[in-house]
Amino acid sequence: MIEVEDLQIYFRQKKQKLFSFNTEYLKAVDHVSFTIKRGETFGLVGESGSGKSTVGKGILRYYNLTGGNITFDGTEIGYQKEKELLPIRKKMQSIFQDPYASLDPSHTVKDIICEPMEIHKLYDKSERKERACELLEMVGMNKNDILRYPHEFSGGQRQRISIARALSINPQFILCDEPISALDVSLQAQIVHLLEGLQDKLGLTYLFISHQLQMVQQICDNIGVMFLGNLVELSDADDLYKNPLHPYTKMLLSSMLEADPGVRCLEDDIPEYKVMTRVKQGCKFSNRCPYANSRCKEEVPKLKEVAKGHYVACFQYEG
Amino acid sequence: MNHLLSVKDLEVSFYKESKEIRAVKGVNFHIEEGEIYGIVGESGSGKSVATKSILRLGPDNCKIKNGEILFEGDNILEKNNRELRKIRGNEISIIFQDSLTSLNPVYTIGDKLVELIRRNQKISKSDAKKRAIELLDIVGIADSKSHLKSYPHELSGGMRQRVMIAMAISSNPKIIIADEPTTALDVTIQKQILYLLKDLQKKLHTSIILITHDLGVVAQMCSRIAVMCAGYIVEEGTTEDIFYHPSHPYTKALIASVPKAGRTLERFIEKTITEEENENLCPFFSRCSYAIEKCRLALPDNYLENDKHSVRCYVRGEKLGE
Repeated sequence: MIEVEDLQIYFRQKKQKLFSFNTEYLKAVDHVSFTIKRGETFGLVGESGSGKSTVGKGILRYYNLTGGNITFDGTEIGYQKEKELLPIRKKMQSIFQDPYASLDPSHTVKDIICEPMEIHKLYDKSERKERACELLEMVGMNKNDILRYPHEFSGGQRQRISIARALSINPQFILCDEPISALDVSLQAQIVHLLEGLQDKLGLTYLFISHQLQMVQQICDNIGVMFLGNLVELSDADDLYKNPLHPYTKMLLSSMLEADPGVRCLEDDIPEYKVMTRVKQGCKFSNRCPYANSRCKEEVPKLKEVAKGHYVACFQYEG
Repeated sequence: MNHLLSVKDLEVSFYKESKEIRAVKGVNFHIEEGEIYGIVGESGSGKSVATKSILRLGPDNCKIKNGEILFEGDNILEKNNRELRKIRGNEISIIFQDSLTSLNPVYTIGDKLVELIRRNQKISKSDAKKRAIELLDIVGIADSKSHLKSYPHELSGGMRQRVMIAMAISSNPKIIIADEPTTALDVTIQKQILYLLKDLQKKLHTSIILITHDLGVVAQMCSRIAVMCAGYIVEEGTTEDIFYHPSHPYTKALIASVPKAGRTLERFIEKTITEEENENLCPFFSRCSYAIEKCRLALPDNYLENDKHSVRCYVRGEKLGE
């Protein structure tokens, strides 16, 4: 359904010199390729700054691409103009991390849910209101809440309103950018349940971005692991957790804390803490990697298939 | 009664437009020397308010209505500001969740640390600087000398949290209150900070009160846990008791909502803000699936499951399975 090919998104950074025209670029996303199949949940994990949100927003074309291309449902959307994008925008929506910041405080719930329908000129006024009620019930809220304001709701309820807004124009694809990170543990499970239920009912496709590995493992079919702008491992969820290949994935998985006092995660020796700078050349993980050798410092490893459906970008698994 | 710190019947309320909002409704707990005590609960359960009240750090409209807080036998609530200042940062210190907003952006790390050290100990500026470098070394900041001149925004989130910890341990406090110290951090950094806290606790023999909503963190760090719900401690016990024999339905639901491989997620009933809850009933009553007729009438007392495990519920323990 969605094909991301060699995606590059660079941000220009100002250099602090007077009369200097050399601009530096921050490579937020560098040569990332993957495909999302219809009806699946694709997860992207990584630490903050790894470019996972940028990839997501790049797919929705909130950013202009520096290179590469994106194909959505057979149409290339990488470099289309805003006007040409509008019909495609109708098929994709997003849910953001912070339910407090992503809802306009001066709009009622009805305004919020109806806005996408107004932009895409769907339905007439009374139908929109009817649909807003319907959507609220679909996300497990009361339709009498329709004239209230966002501040009257808790975080979990606001996230439900965000979901209702995203669903209002019947999208096929929803970008979930850390939809549960700002919520309490108890609410996370609920929102995930809701998203899963809606997927079954409406046949949605999700791109699920998160740094909470446990949650991603629960709900995703395929997972990509990102590190400083590169996709370092790509696999189906079970395989990734049972058999992680890239040293970075292993590190991420080992820093999960088991909610079980019987499993001791913090007993071993304290690893040394170093300040990490971005690597200019070679594999970006090479300064943290325990297996790094001279080759890693010079060449950038490419994503290669090592087992069926399991891709990894590391020289350890080559030849 | 030789607890390092004991909190008895603490009640804290907020006043807003002449309306009283009861945040903490009679909380009892105590901290032993050298232990890590965890407090878990949803946001709004009063866990932060209860612990900030130990240092009387609440905002202006917050009032401690009742109770006593005994630190080494003295009641903190009866102290005046001057006596209180000797305890704050000196005997009991605190680490906040958001390190960027809790560090003053116009001071360098060095300024801040030197000021703090000189306030609590009578030493010269250069000695204080040496101590500051030493502290940064302890918390694992490489190149500590040059980092004294850094401003908070120049450091990463993990490093800022290390600076916060350095400030907290600067005068060898007996208790450190860590209010969600790792919530804003990445998983990999979270693990490093937790390692550091645990290591410091072992080396300096400090007690730590760890407030979090991450059950993974408490399971790995704490020896005893209190579960808070809407201003009450609904269950308290050793980590093993809480995780292996949870007795309160709320604790059970919390543990079941942690994702785990090969297990489906439990649905957790969301609390609605609008619903007027009866203040005098069990805080979990409206969401509880085990509620009985008795729950509708009065707030349950604390029952002891064993000498360290108490629970505030009528229907408790093994009966929940039926």
